Amino acid sequence: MLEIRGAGQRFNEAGWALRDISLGVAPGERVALIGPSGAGKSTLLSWLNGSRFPTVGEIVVLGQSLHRLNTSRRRKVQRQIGTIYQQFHLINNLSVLHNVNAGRLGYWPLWKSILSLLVPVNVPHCRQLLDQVGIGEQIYKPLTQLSGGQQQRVAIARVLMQNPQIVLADEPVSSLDPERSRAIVDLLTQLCSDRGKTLVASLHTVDLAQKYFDRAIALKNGRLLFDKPMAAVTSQDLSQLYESQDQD
Amino acid sequence: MFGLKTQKRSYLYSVNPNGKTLFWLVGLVVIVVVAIALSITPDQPWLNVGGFNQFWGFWVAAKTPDLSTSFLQLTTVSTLQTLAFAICGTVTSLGLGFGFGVVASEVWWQAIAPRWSWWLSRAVRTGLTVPRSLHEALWGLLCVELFGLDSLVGIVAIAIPFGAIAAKVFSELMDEVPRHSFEALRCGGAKPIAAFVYGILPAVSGDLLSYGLYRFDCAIRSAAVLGIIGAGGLGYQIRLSLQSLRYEQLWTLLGALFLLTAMGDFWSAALTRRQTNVVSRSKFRSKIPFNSIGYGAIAAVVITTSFIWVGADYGKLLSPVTYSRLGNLLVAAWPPDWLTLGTAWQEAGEVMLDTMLMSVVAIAIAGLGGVCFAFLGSQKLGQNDTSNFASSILPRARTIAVRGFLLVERAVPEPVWALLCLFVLFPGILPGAIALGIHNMGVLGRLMAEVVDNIDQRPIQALRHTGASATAIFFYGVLPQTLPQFLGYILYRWEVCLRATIVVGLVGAGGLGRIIAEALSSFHYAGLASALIALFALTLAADTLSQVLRRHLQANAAE
Repeated sequence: MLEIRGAGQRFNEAGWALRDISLGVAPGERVALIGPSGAGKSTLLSWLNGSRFPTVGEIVVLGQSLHRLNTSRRRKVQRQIGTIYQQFHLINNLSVLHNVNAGRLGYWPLWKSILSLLVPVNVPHCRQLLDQVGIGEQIYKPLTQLSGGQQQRVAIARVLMQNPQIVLADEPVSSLDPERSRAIVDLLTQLCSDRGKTLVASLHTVDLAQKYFDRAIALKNGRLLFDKPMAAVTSQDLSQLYESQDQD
Repeated sequence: MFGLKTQKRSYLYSVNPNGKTLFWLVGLVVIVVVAIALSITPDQPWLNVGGFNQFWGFWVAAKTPDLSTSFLQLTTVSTLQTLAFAICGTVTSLGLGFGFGVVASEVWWQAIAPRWSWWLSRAVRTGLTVPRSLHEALWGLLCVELFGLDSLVGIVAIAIPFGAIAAKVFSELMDEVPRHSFEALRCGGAKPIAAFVYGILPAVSGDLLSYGLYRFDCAIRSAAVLGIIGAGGLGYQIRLSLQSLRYEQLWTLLGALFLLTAMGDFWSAALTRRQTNVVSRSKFRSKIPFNSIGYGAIAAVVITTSFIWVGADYGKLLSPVTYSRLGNLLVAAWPPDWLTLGTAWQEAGEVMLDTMLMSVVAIAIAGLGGVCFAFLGSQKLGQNDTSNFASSILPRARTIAVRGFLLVERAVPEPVWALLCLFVLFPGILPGAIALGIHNMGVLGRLMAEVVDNIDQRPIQALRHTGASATAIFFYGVLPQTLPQFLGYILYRWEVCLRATIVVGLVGAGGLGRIIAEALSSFHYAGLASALIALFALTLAADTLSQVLRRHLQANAAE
């Protein structure tokens, strides 16, 4: 489903942000990407959704190598990947409804996208998805009136609207308090397993990763430290993963 | 306590004449003094004593404006006409500005053609400098050549330069929008244009609207000026009354113009207030969808009525006659006839220097006057801690009087001030400079008064509590806070002044404007072309200089 083959990323002469990464993700897996900040988690996720190409190596999504595709075919693959961001990356000046509908932009013809801003289409479906993430009554509100947790729920609804086979989440709960974080991760993992979607999420809180995910991929200083089932992750693994940060 | 201390220190540094600032200030003063000296040439008479009778007559007529029913009717219709021109011009310019703003923005091209985005957006922006650098009156005159005397002139002449300015502003706004939601949509596989429409446009739509309404204020002034060159409306009536020396009518018309300008000011002030409300309290937004339908409907009716009522022959925009005229004009204009500027390079240089001098003297008058009146007209500055009503009457009356005076200064268009100056002054740099100076003093005074009203009161309170005198507070608390912005406005207005030298030149005040007027009246298009190119070069030089100075000011203020 997702495959990284010997990939590395070099931003400047100084060194490699990520190096010698090879791994594969099977359909329906729930993978947590863990590691200290600056380890390269975001870069790895940006490879997977096609917003960045590795300096060396290859990214294969749904059997297709991303950098070999032309723009329009890559876009077709990208429609099968939904991304949730730490800072939500929603559109502030639009209502919740339009933000959710924005998930369909890859499928709609241009005229429909523009028309929908004037006469919203797809309202019942939006409402249904918003109900599933628990904020159905907010559908007509401007986005800025929603709290951070509610905005992340809108982002999840947007991804559900896009209905991809793969969901990527880049630090989805870093800007939320612990209570809301747990609720959001709970919702996200639940929705993904209900619908059989593959989920790859980077998390900085190990307890959430251990509770909700079945596989851990640990990155440290741009290298793969370990990649094993969550149940097999020992406290020794974790202390090795986070220790050198104190010494730096 | 510590925070306040550092704050005061940084204010002082921003105005403290370290070597560079002192150099610039001395340089500016020298330039202004030399310009004033050069504009009053001792060997030529500049005071026209014979014109004082007319000048006096004009002021005496203020006591008896023409208030007959028929003339009031004419005035009302003309006022509405000017208003309609301003509305049509603004709407058209916003449409143009939006379209060109999109293709001038880098983010649009990043969506469409990522590899060439920088070059393509730069190319469009460079192309936009030409329509922007010519004054709307010049576009008006060129439009008269193409369309004849038609209301269309009034609309197109406002739409072209305003549209180009709007396009520049819009494109910059679009490029400033954070890209992450745009990028996020692209990552989800959205088409480039759809991602642009969802991820970029909503973020700027509010700004676009409020900018458009702000420009409407300027469009009213432009519509009045365009009337003077023949597009109809109040300006046209003012010209007729002036030419036939009927000053009683003139005062009525000027009164109407005053009301129109006051209305525009009031509206834009109310609008900015509402805007800040919306920003500070986002609850206002939930009500907007309902209100916006009502406002939208009213706006649609007013705009449609305006477009129909001005009665322009819109067919001329597409008619072959217009394009054959345009073709003839371009053929006749090439190659430019440089001899029009002067028989020798020296003469041509003198004309350009004259134009430049006129703008410098004008901005010196406007700047100095503006600063003085801004402090006199400030609502907050004169008031002390005491909230005693009796002691606040005097400052209040002073504020109202000063603001009214500034309003009169800017309500009367530059060419009208120029014609008044020409009663008592011989044609040359001086009457043009004074006319431009008076009008721009009105504009600057208002902008600067707003700056004074918005200054941070805390450092001033702190100074007052140390027992500082009013003068000391002014130099240590008020001036350091306002001066950088004042200089910024003055430089910006200087660019406007240079463009507007043309308008006063057209009525005979001298400089390139006079040459353009002569070339137009004798259908000497090759001469017109050379004058326009010279003007373009001057404008470009002034804009660049002003930009460099402003950046220097900003860097200094940021230190």
